[in-house]
Amino acid sequence: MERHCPEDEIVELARGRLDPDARQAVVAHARECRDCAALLAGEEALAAGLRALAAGQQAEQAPPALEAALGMAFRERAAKPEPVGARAVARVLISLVTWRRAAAMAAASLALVACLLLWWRARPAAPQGQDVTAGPLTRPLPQAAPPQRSAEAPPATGKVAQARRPARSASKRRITKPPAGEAPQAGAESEFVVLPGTPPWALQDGARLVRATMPRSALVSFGLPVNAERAGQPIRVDLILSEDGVARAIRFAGQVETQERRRR
Amino acid sequence: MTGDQRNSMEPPEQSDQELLRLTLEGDEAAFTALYRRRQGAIFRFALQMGGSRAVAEDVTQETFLTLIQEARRYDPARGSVAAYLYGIARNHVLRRLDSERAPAPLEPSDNDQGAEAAGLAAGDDLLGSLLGREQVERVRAAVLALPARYREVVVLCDLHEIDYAEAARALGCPIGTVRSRLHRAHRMLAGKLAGRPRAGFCQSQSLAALAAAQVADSDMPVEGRSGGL
Repeated sequence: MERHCPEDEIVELARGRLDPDARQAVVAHARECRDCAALLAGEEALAAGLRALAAGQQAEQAPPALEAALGMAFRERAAKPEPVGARAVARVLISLVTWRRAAAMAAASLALVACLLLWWRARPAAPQGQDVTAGPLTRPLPQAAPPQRSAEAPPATGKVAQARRPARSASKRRITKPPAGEAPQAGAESEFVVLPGTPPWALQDGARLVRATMPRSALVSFGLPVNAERAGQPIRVDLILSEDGVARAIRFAGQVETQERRRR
Repeated sequence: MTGDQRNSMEPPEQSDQELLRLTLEGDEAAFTALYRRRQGAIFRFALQMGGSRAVAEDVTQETFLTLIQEARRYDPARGSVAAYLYGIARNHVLRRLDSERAPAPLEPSDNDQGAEAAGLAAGDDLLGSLLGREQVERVRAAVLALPARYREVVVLCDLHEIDYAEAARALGCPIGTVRSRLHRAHRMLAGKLAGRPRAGFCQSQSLAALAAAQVADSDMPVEGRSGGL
C-alpha cells in the first residue's frame, strides 16, 4: 500500500463532494487497495440509499392549514406594538444580577417585608369606642365633645390638618404644646394630627369620627411620644377613620377619670 | 412601493434575506413567500429527525412562529436564512424529543465496536435479499436510530444536501465537527444496515445490492410507512 487509506476522502468521494484532483488520487488508490475499494463501493451504496430516501420524502409538505394559521399569527403579531425592549431590559437586569447582588437584594427584600409586618402590627385597629358622629364629619359634633375648631371646618382640600402646614411637620405635630415627649394631660385640647404613614386621603372620600379610650402606651403605635411612667393610664381620643376603617388623624379629648383619680 | 402593491404580487425572485427584511416590516406577502419556499425543507427536516408527521407539523409551526416573533435576531453575517431556520427547527425538534422522552438511540457500545472489527461478510446475503420499499424503509429506520447529534448531520448533509459550512451554522458547531460526525454516522449507518456495526471496509457487494434496490424504488409513496423504530 503506497499511501495511508484515505477513508474520509472516500466518504466525500461517494457523496460527490471531492474535488477532481483528490478524486483521481482516491480512485487510483482504491484500484490498488482492496479494502478501500470495498469501502468506496459501500459508501457509494449508502449514498445511493440516502438519496433514495431523500427522493422518497421530497414531496413531503406541511399541511395547508398551517399556512393559514401562521398567516393569522403574523397578522396578530403585526397588529401588536413591539414591546419596548422588554426582553433587552430583562437581559440587562439579569446580567447585572450577580450572586452578590442577588444576596443583597434578597436581604433588602426581607428587611422590607419585616418593616411592613411591623407597620401592619403597629397599625391601629378600628378602636372599640363610641361613634360620636352619625354621618360625615361635616356634621357638627355632639355636645359631649369638647369645642373643636378643626373638626367643624376641615380644610377645603379635604386633607386633614395638612392644608395649613407642611406635610412633614403636620404628621406628628400637636397644636397645643404639651411637655416634650408627653401626651396631653387631662382636659388638654388639641387639634387633629394626621397620623404618620397614612397615604393621601381626602375627607370627600368619606370619614367618620370615633371617640375611643385607650392606654397611653397605644399612642406609640401612632408614632406619638409617651411618658413611660404614665403609659398605663387611659386616655380619651377622637379618631378620624376613613371609609376603609383606617385611622387617619387623632385628637386628644381628655384624660379618663379613673376610680383612683376620683378617690384623690 | 406601498404595502398594498407588495401584497398584490408575488416576489418570486427575491432572496430569503430580502423576504425576511420585508417580513420584519410587516409585509405578510413576503412572509408567506418565505414560508412557502422553506416550509417543505423544514417539515422534512423535522420529519426525518423526529420520525413522526405530528412532530414535523408541530415543529414547522413552532419554527415559523419563532421566525415571526424573533426575526430581528437573524444575523446575515452568521449564515443564510435557511441555516437560521434549520437551527430553529433543530432546537424545537430536540426539545420535543426530550419532552416526549422518546427512547434515545444508543451510542455504539464496546461490543458494537468489536463487531465492527469482526467479520464483515456474514450479513451480505441478508442485505442482498432486502429489496425495494423495504430497503428504503430500512435506511429511514437506520437514520432514525442514530443518536441525535449524528442524525442531524446525516439529515442536513446527506438528505438535504447542504454543505458543511451551512450545516455548521445551523447546528452551531465547527465545520470539522460536522465532517467528523458525518463520517462517524456513515459507519454507524452501514453497520445498522448490515445488521451490525460496520468497520470501515468491505461489504461492498451487499451495499451495492442495497443501492440498486433503493434507486429502483426511489419514487415509492411515503404514506403508510411505519413510524420509527
